[in-house]
Amino acid sequence: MEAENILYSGVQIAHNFGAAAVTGLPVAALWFKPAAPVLRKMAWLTLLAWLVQALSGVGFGTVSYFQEGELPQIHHLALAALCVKIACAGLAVTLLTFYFMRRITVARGDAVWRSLAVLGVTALTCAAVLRWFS
Amino acid sequence: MSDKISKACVGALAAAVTLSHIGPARFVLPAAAEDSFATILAPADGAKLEAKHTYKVEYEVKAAPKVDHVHLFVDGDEVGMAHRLKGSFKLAALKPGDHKVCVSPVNKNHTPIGAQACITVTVQ
Repeated sequence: MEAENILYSGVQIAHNFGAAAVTGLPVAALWFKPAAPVLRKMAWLTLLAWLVQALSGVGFGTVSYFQEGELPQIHHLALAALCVKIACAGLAVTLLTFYFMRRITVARGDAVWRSLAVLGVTALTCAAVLRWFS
Repeated sequence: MSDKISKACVGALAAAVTLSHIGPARFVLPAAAEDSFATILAPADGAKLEAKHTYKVEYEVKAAPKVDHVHLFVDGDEVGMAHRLKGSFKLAALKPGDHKVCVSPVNKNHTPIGAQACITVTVQ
C-alpha cells in the first residue's frame, strides 16, 4: 500500500509540475515577451514539460497495471478527455519541433506561443474532466 | 539541434510504448485479485425487472485503505460512479433480456481493486 501510494504520488508530482509548465510557460512568454534567446530556452522547457506530461500520463497506467494487474477504468466523457489530452501533447510536441527546426518564422512566434497556451489550457481542463468523470 | 529533438521524441515514444507493453503484473499482491470489497444488496441476483421502469441498485463497499469510490457497470458499460461506501445508483430502463450489473470498487486512479460484485437481472 505504501509503495503504491509513493509510486502514484511520484507520478502525480511529475504530472502536476508538467501541467503547470505547459500552461504557465506559454502564458509567460506572451505576457512578458522576453528576448529571443530566453524564448528559445522557454520553448525547450515547454517541450520537456510536455514530454513529462506524456510519460507521467503513461506512468499512471503503468503503476495501476503493475500494482493491481489492471488498467484504470476510463469510459465515455473521461475517455474523450484523455484522447483530447493526448492530442494536445502530440500537437504541442509537433509544433515545438517545427519551432526548433526554424520552419516557423519569428513573425509567427506569437502564434506559436498562443497555440501552445491554448493547448496547455485545454489539456489542463481535460485533466479535471478525466479525474472526475471516470 | 533538430536531430536531438527528433531523437528525444522517438526515445520518449519508445519508452511509453515499452512501458505500456511490459508483461503481466509481477508486483500484484496475490490476494488483490481474490478479494471483493463490494456487495450488491438490491436487486437480488436473478431478479426479474419490468421493462420501462427504473430501479435502484443498492450497494455496500467495505471500508479498505485502497477503496476510493465505486463504478457501476451494465453489460460491461460504465454507467455511473459514486464516492460513498454505501449507497445506490439509479438504473435506467433496460431493454428486455438478461443484463449483467456490476459494482466495481476502484482506487483513486480509477483502477479496480479486487473482484467486482455482479448480479444478473432479467428484464421482461
